[in-house]
Order: sequence, then C-alpha cells, then structure tokens
Amino acid sequence: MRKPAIIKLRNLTKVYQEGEREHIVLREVNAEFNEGELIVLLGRSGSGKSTLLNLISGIDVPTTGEVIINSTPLTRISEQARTLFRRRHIGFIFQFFNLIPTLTVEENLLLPLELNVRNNAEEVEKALHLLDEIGLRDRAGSYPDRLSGGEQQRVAIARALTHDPLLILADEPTGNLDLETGHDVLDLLDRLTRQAGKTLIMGTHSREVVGIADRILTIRSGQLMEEEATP
Amino acid sequence: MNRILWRASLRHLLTHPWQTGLAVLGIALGVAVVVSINLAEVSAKRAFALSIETVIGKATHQIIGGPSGLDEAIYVQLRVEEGWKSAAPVVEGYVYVPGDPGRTLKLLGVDPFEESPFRTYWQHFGRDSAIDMATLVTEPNTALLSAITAKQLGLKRGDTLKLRVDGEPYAVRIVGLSPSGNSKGKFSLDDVLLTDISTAQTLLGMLGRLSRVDLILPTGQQGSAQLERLRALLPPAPEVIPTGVHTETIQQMTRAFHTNLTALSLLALLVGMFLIYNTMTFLVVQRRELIGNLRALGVTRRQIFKTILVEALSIGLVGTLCGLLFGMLLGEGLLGLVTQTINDLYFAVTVRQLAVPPLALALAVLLGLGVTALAAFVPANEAAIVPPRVAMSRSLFETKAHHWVRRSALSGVLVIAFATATLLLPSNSLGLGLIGLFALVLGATLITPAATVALVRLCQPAVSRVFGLIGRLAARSVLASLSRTTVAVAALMVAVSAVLSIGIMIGSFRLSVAEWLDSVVRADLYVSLPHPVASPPEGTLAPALVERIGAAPGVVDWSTVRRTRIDSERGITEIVAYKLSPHSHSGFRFKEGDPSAIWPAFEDQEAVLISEPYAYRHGLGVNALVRLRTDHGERDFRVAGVYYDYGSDQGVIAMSRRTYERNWTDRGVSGIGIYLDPDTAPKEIEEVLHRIAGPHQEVQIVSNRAIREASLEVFDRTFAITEVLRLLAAVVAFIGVFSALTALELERAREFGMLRAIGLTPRQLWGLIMSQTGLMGVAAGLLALPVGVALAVTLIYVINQRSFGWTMDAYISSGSLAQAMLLAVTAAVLAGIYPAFKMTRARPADMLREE
Amino acid sequence: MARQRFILLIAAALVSTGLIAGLAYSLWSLGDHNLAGEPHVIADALVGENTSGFAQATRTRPFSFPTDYGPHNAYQAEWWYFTGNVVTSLGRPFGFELTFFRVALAPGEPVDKSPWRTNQLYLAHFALTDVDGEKFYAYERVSRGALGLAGARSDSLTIWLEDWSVRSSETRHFPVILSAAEGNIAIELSLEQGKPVVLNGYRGLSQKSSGPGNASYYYSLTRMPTRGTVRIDGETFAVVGTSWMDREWSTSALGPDQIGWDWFALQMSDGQEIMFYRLRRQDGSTDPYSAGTLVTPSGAALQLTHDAVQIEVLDYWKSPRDSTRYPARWRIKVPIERLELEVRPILAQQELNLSVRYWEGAVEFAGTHADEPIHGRGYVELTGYDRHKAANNR
Repeated sequence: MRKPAIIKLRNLTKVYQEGEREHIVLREVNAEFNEGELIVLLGRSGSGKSTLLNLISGIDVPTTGEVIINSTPLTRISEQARTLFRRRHIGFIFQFFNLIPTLTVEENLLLPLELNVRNNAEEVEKALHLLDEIGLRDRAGSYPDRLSGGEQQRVAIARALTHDPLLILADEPTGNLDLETGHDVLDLLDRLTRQAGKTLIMGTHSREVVGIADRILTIRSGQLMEEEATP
Repeated sequence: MNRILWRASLRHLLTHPWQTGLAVLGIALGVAVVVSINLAEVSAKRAFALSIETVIGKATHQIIGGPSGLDEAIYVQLRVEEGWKSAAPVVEGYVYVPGDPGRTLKLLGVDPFEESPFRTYWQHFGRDSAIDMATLVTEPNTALLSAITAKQLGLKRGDTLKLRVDGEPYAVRIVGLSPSGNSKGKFSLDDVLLTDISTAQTLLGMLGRLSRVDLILPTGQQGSAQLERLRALLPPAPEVIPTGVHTETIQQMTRAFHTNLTALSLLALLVGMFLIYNTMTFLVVQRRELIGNLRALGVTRRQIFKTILVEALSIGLVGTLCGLLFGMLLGEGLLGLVTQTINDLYFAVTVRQLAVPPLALALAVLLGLGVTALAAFVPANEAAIVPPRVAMSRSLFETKAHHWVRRSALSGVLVIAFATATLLLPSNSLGLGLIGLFALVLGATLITPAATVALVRLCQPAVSRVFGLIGRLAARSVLASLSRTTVAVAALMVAVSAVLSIGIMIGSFRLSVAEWLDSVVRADLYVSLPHPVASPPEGTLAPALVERIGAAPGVVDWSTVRRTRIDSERGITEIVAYKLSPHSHSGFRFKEGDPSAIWPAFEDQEAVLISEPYAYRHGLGVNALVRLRTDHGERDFRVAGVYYDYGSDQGVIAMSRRTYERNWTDRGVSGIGIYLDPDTAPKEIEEVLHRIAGPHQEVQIVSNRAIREASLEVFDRTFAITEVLRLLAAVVAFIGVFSALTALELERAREFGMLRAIGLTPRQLWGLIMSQTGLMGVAAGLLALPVGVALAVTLIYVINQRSFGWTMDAYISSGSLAQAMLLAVTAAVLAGIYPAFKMTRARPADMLREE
Repeated sequence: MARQRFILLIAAALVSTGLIAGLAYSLWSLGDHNLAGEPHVIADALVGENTSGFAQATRTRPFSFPTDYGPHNAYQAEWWYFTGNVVTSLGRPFGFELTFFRVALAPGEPVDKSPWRTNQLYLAHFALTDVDGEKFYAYERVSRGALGLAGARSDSLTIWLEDWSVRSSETRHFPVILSAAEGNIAIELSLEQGKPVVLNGYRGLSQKSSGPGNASYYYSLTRMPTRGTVRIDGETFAVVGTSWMDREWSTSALGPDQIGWDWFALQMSDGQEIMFYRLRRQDGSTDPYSAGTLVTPSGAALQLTHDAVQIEVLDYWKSPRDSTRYPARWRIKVPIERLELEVRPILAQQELNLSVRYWEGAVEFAGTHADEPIHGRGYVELTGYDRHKAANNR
C-alpha cells in the first residue's frame, strides 16, 4: 500500500560560486517521497547529501527548481514562512553540534515545543516521555557536554520528534559515533520514526544503514539515482 | 617553521577583520587620547616657558616691589651711584585689544639700551624689519609686535593698534615687527607688545614706577657677595629674587591640573587595554584546537607564546601608530580647550601650534606597546598551556573560567581594600590619591566577573519568565562564556563608572560653586573693568570714579575690592583687600574661626582671612601667622579665619582695605559692589553709573545675577576639557564593548544556525542577540553605579581636595545615575546590532557550515 | 674735526647693539655694511640722513663759557673727548681716553609724562693703556639722557653716564675730576684748564666737507695739567701728566667718499701743540677738507690747511683679531713751521674693539722744530681701517 507522495523535488539545481568557477552540486534533481517512508541518501563526503537535505528543510534555497512539502511550495514562500513551516513540520538531526550547549537536556528537548508555543502540560508530558524512550530521563537536568556522543545523538533524535513533525531529516547522525553506538542510535531512530509514522530522510556515506531503508537513493555527480531496496 | 606560524597567525587576523580592526581601533583611541592630552599640555607648557624665557631672558635675579611696583629711583641709584651693571628696568602689564574676540597682550616696556645682555629677542628685530628704533624711544605710543601677532591682528608696520588699558582707550603705532617663523623656537614675542619703558609707564599709569629690575649676577661666591651687597643697598621693601622662583611657581600652579588631565587620559588607555586583552583572549580561544594541533606537530610552548604575543604586539603597533596620528589631530583640537582652561585659571598663554616632541611620541609608542604586551600576556600564556591535540571541551574551559572568577573576585576585594586604605591614609599626596583611585578601578574590574555572574543569575528567573526560552537562552549564554562576556562587561563598567563619576564630580563642584556664588555675591550691582586678565594684578578703576559712585543717588552702601599679588622668594601670593559693607559680612562662610571674633580682628587688628585652598596648601589654620612682603618690609599677619572660596585654586589672603593701605602704598580698586536702595530700579542706577563713569574709562556694570551666570560660564568652560575626556572615555568604552560583543556573537554563528534550523525565526534570533548584549549592558550599568559613585566620592574628597584644596559636597542626582544606566544599556544594545543584523540575514545552512 | 660720521656710526652701532648683540662688529666683519659704502644704513634707521629740525653749524658763533661746556641739544651729535698721557713718580707711563658722546635721536624735546622719555642718547668710551704691563683696556657705556642716568650740565663742565663722569667743583669750573671705573681699571684724575680755549677751524667753525652746514663747532683745551690716580687690578698709582680735551658739536654728516680719518693731537716739549686730522678718501688720497691747528706756548692758534701738513706712514700694525692693518708710525712734516716729527705708539695694541672698531692710542714722538730737537706725547685716532672696508673698496 503506497501512501501519496508528500515531498516533491522538482528540477532542483544548486550551484555554488567559488570565485570565478561554478561548482554544480545538484543538477536537475527530481524525486518524490511518501509519508512514512524511511529513505536513505547514500553518497560520499561532498557528494551533495547535506545540500539536498538543507534544500528540503528550507535552511538553504536552490539555485533553480522547487521543493514542495505537503503541497507547500517551500522554495517560493518567504524566509519567515519557511522558518515557521520548518519549526512546525520538520525535525533535525545533525552529525555534530546538535544541542544548544547552554540548555539542559530537558530544555533542549522542549525547545521545539517552546518555539511552536505548544508548551501545554500534555505536550510537555509527551515530550518528556520521549526521554524515557531514549533512556535518559535521569539526565534531564544535565548540560549536553556532560553527555557522551551517543547520548547526545539520542537526545537529538528525541528533540527532532517532540513537536510531532511531518518529516525528519538526519545528516550523518552516526558519522561521529563508534560502530556499536551508531547501531544503537540507528535502531532508536528507526524505531521512533516508524513508531510515530514519520517520514525520515537520512543522509549517510555508510552502506551499513541501508538495511533499515524503505528506499535507497544515491547521489553521484549531482544526480540522484534510485537503488532497489534489499530487504 | 616560524615563518609559517607567523603566516598562519597573520591570516587568522586577516580572516577576522572585525575583531582585528576593532582591537586596532581600541588601542588607537586609547593611545590617541593619551597622546593628544600630552601634546596639548606639552605645547601649552612650552609656549608658556618660551614666553617666560623671552621675557626673562638671561636675567638671573629680579628686584621686585609690592603691588604698585618699584620706585624707579632705586634703579637710577643703582646705576649712577653704585655703578651697578647688568641691570635692566622693566615695566609690564596687560592691555586689551578690543575686537571679536578681543585679545589680551602683554605690554613689555624696556629700555632698549640696556637690553642686549638680557634678552636675545632684540636680535630678531633685525635689519629686514628695519625697526625704527629712534622712533620707539623718542615718540610716545609706539610699539613693536611679533609679525605673527601683527598678522593675526591685521596690522602692518606703521599701522595703529587700538588698545584699552584699564578700560581707557589708547592707540599705539606699530613701528616694527619681529620676524615671523622662528625655526629654533628660542623665543616667542607672540602676544607681547614691546615698547620703550616711557611708553609703558604712560600707558599703564606707572609713572615713576618700575615693575621690576632684571639683573644678571655671576654664579658662585662672587654672585652671593654681589647679592649681599645689593640687599644691603636696597630699602627694606624691594626684594631680590632669583628669576627661577617666579617661573617655577607659575608652573607649579598648573601641576595639579596637568596631573589630573594625564590621569584621565590614562583611564582611556586603560579601557583600550581591556580591548586588547579581550581581542587576544578571543583569538586564542577560537584557535584552541588549532593550537592543540600545532603543539602536537611539535611547536613548543615558547613558540606559541611568542606567536600570540607578536600577534598582539602587531595589533598594538598598528593601533599605536594610528593612535599617534589621530592623537596629533585630536591634540590640535584639545589644545584650545587646555589653553582656555589655563587662561581662565592660571595665566595668559597663547599657543601658536602643537609641539610634537619626539620624546612624547616615543613614550606614547612605549605606552601603547607596553599596555598591549601586558594585556596579551594572560591570553598568550593561556595559549601556551594548551595541551597538544586535546581540544579541551568548552565546558571544562568555562569551568576553569568559573574558578578564575572566584579567584579574581577575591583579589578584587583585596585590591579594593588596599585602595580604600590608601585613600584613607591621612596624606596630601595627589600621587597616592591617584594610585588609590586606579586601584579602586582595578579592584572593581576584578570583581566584575563574579558580580556579573551573580547579577545574571539573579535576573535569570525574571528574564525567563518575561522572555521565555529566548530569555533563558540569553542569560545562559552570558554565563556560559564568562571568559569573554565578563571582560566586555568590565570594560563597559569601567567606562560608564568613569563617565558617571566625572559627571558627579563636575556636578557637585558646580553646585558648590553656585551656592558659594549665591552667598558671596550680595551686592546689587558690580562695577569692574571689562576684559579681566587671568593673572592679577587686575586693572584699576579710576579713583575719582570710586568716590563718585559712592555718592550716586540710590546707592545705599558700597564695598570695594582690590585683587593683587605679591611676589616674593617664597612664590606668588594672591591678595584681596576688601573694604566691606556690613552687608557683605554674611557673604563669607567660614570653615574655621568664630565669625563674631573674626570681623573685629579683620577690620581693626590687621588680621587676615585665608581661603580654604590657601589653608590647605600651606597647612595653616586660625591664629597661624602668614608672612607677607609689605611695602615697608616683611611682616607677619595673624590668620583670623579660613573661609570658603572657589575663586582661586592657589588660595588667597584676604584683608581689610585699612590693613592693606597701612602696609602697601597701592591705592587702586579693582571692583566695587553697590548696594541699592530697595526702592530704586537697578536698571536706572546702572545708567546713572554709566554716566558717572563717563566716556573715558570703559567700565562694566553688571547685576549680581549676571555675575553669577558669568562665573558659572567660566566654570563650565574650565571643565570643557574634562567633559571632552569623559566623552572620549565613553567612546573608547563603546568601541571596546562593541568589538567584544560583536566578536562574541559572531563566534556563535553555528549555534545560531542550528537554532534557525530548528525553527527560530530571524526576529527571534534578533531578540536573542539583543537580549544577550542588553543583559550585559544592564549588568555593566548596575555595577557601574556603585563603582561610579565610589569613584566620584574619591574624586571629590581625595583627588580634587588634594589637587586644588577645595572641599565640596558630593551631589548625586538620580538623573545622572539613570543616565549612566542608559549609557551602558545603549552601548551594549547598539553593539548587538551588527551581529544581529548579520546573523538574521545569513542562511542557516551557511551558518552551520561555519568553521 | 672729522668725527661727525664717526659718532653717528658709534651711536648707530651702539643703539643697534642695544638691539643687536655685538651688531656693529659682526655687521662690519660680515661685510654687509661698511664704513665707506653704506654706513648710514643703521645711522639712517637711528638718526637718518634727515637732519631737518636740527640746528646746523653754518656760521661762526660767539663761544661763551660755561654755557658752551654744556650740551647743545639742538645739534644732532656732540662729544666731550678727554685723552691724556700720565706717568707715575717712578716713570711708569699710562695713556687714558674718556669720551662722552651725545646723540639726538630726534630733534626737539619730547613731551611726555614719563621721565624716561628723551631724545638724547649718551655713549661713552673709557680706555687705558698700560705700557709696562703691555695691556690695553677699553670699555663702553650707553644710556638714555634721562632720569639722571646720563647727561651734561650747562653751568659747568659736568657730564656723566651712570658712574663715569667729568665733574667740576661747586665753586670753580676747573679743575674737573674725571672719574671712571670698569672691570679691573679705574681712573680718578684732576684736570686743570691749562692753556685757554683754542678755537679750531675758522673761529671755531670747522668745515668737514663741501656744502653749507657740513661743519661742526670745535674747540679744544690742548694742555691740561693732570694729576690723580690710576688703578689697575687693585693696584693704585699716583700719576701726573697732561691731558687734551676736544669739544665738538654738529649735525651734518661727511661726504660719501670720506672713508675715515687719522687724527693727531701732539703736545710738544717746547710748549706747543699741534692738532691735525687727515680725512681719507676712498682712493686713499687726502681730502682737501683735512685741517689742523698749531697752538703756540702762549695759546695763540694757527690754522693748518690740508696741504700744510705732510704725513708719511712708516710702519703698519696688524690687528691680531683679523689682520686689519693700521698705520703704526708716521713722519709728520709742517714745512712752513719747519716742524718734523716721527710719531710712534707707546703700545702697538690700542685698538678699541667696541661696538665700533677703531684705533685710538697714546703716542710718543721726537723730531725738530726750527732745527731744535723736540719730543713729546700725544694721542692718535685711526678710523675706517677695517679689513673689509679695504676689501670692498677694491
């Protein structure tokens, strides 16, 4: 059963100007992603994975082309509207520097809710429940730099889900972790997103993770190619 | 290896132009303020010394008389009967050139035939100028001018210069000009009207009198023998004094003024020092990882230390050089203010141009670099102890910072204790006072980090309640990077407290002066000569005028004042002789002495009153004896009381007119205070008085209100330079805070990028940055209030007292406090604008990519 | 006598010295100004060529005393010139010069309240020649003629500049007391009148160059018995001897080509005196206005015209300062009087290096008068010999 596509990428092109030279990162990329899908974006460092994720989230704008999420043309609305859309509908997990160092674990977790002014007791309770899910309830009051890398990424995953977004974007979430911790984090990510029925697009250079993917897309020379998932 | 290290550090500086530029600017401004003040002062001093040198020439001694000068017969006797050689008679005084603005010239009357051993300036009235010497000597009302002064007055040789002497109009013909442009700078006849002694006697109304006789005595035994012989020859009243005494006394008068200016300018440099410290700390913190890597590659600690220090010194050097240039420009501007103050308070001096002695510049360079090195030492050391390859986590670093905060606070408390002890020491040393003042500033600075933490913690709940998460974020970020934030807060605090304290000091001073004026200015109308000259003796009213005014209709009572000064080997003493109306007694407020006993003693027993600064400077009190050189020889006078007087920072001795006339031959009157019949209109009387004065002598008749206003105007003009310094300190502080906060905010680009990614709108980010800097501004402002008040109290009760001998009441208005607070917050908020602007404009993706 | 120009120069230089330290000397030595060419530059600045307002010596006048001992302020320049040769009882000779100049900076008397105002400037030179000590001393004073600092009386031969003075006693005009002290020297000399007043030129009118008024009034006392003391370095010598006084006042300057003069005042052992001034022209020749007076033992005066006297320079002396050359020995012949003398300085170095540079010194001479051997002493003044003057004249 395929759900209707909620994310549409139309002819996305991103060109960086490096002095006199133009560096084309993405060339005429077209793709559609459906609700609840777990998509893995495979590609080497510098292949354009992060750029594509940035374009999808709206923290960067394409040179040409369109991003449409849930029928919102993200590339055509104002920065303010894009920020508000992102705040409500997108959750982020980065490779480094996921958490605000000056906020505690709990505060980091509640940040999206607070930004969306949804800090009613019920929502907060739900969010704090996520702390149990990632097993860090007892660290709620700690500052991020007291946590290990794996723990920090778990908090990041939880934070990406607190405000119940449509879409979660993860950029090399395990890139900075050892193998075993990486596995744990991936498991958690897989479990929580699927449990919540969210769409997840995860950029990675490691084929290790393709196992959990519904679809696998590879970026090479600025082109996006679909691989058959191997369940 | 080293070269690559330098290159790396240079590139780092270049890729952080904002930080580097602002650090350069900060040090440049600090140096500029010091340089400009120094140059302005040096120029004023030099111009003064030059004019003194020109006028004194090679004279080693002078025979001086009382307020009315010397009898010229003494000179003739010396010459003809005693065959005394190397003696030159001098008649000098001040004349006023009307115009807009009017100008005061020193009238120097000499005997040209006796001048050559004394004054070399004659050489400069050389052949080119073809001085009509014979005319100067034989023709009344002829004079010589320096070419520059003549040009400024729009005069050529042969032109007539209109003058007023004691309000009476005269015209002199300029028969020669001294050449302009004296490259050697050996003499300055600027603002000197040189005449034959006969012309000077006539113009100044000193017929039969000389101002002094200049002498050249040999050094050593022969000199003292001659001196002894001379003293034996002279009647008791004239005194022979070495010429140095005079110059030195006059220069001493301005010493406190100069010290205060220098201290103020150093304050600006101190703030500049914070800037360098701040910047270097940043540059080190930013590169901790890089430095760790370099250490891993085998770069030694010493090399790291050197690299950072050289970096800092490069910034310091560029800043210092810019500061020198800017300082010279600024000095030109300040020169006018400095000379104005000197003219108002001490003596007439005109400074033609800014002197730029190389030594002053060298000192400034040394100061700039020294301060930089001092400021960079801690960060350089910090850099050197970074362990190889270990990028210490921020939190650990900040934890360390928290320890440092505690240590700093502790030493701050100790320094403040030291400062307090120093200030409380019963001493008259201005130097000690300034040490205390600076220690106070230092102590406050050291406490600032701890105080900032406490304040922000205190504010935090309120802030987070009002601004929610953004507020909490803002507060937290201030605390989280204490190593940078507190330095910025401290710099701002120092600047704001300096601004506040100087403001309070000036305000208190002004209030005291205003109150004093209210009590002392009692008469309804005051008659005096217009265009007063700073240094006494003041002009003399025509004696007939004094009598006629007393008899004018509507005049109930009147008092007269004679202001003059007595030179002696001990220095210069300002004397005020009052013929007081009973109305005026209550105008005196006494610091010491019983008023009921004072007045009879003053009027009938030849007792004198001394002003507060005089008492302070000479350590005298009631019943002490002051020795004065009267026209009948030296005499002791008993002090009946010490009274408040803000008219002279050197202090004055007041005596009754009767006492004055009994001991001195001078009968001149400098001013008259008139008490009117309450039924008459002052305006009408004023007109009557003007008619009485007639067209001959131009007199100034002003109401008591106008006098008060004019006095306060002079007061304000006097403090103009202080106000400017205060402003400059504020500007330096602002630049400092601006640079610190800008750097601080720019450094957090990634954090802001992430926040933007997860949905912080540009406006929210703007708010976040603004509340961060604003919070620091509030902290600085709140801390600056007590510190500023403490500094003000120190300035008023220690520095001012020791410099000028005046006591005044500290007056702290809530307005000035509010203003200080506003200044701190405004500076901080303004400093947030650029980073906020930049951050909200940037794409989050780019911000995340930073580093 | 031809000191008209000279006094203006001295006056100018001195006033300027008032203005310019050591001006005259430096000016001359720099060659900017010189005696011959444009000496009036400074003189102009001071007194000016403009002599209007001053009285002129255009015709003879009766001389009356004591009035004519005193100043003649209507004329621009005036002097009292005392020179003399004295000797101790042991025969140690000294020469002295004490001269007072008066220069009017402007004509008339100024009206001013200040007593310092005056048109009269006084200058004085005081020199002493110590032959045995081989030393020559020269000093200069200047003062305005006001307040009693300097001046001259009209009722006696009394003139003073500060503490240098010539004073007669209250009751008699003579003797006069010359009193001066400066540095390590001092004189206190009493001068009797000696012979009566000798009027030089035509009845005391001495024409200096062509043109009416280019003349002075000039009289002398040619043999004044002198006694008193000379003090050098604290040692006081009682001396006797003979002095000479020249009194001259005038207004107009010399002609432009008169560069200097040689003045001789000689007191002969046979009771005669001869005074002669040779005015030198730029080309070195003797100006026809040169003149002199021969005074007989009884005091009768005989005028000497320029061609009555022949002067031959036998030797020269170079100033050690800059090798300016002065004549230093002369043969003087007055053929109509059958007088022949050889004159030489008693000391070579008698150059006055004051604001104006000139040579004025005691001389001695020997020779014959109507075949009778004579000898004597006197004074010679030499002006306009500055080295640069010569250079400029070339």
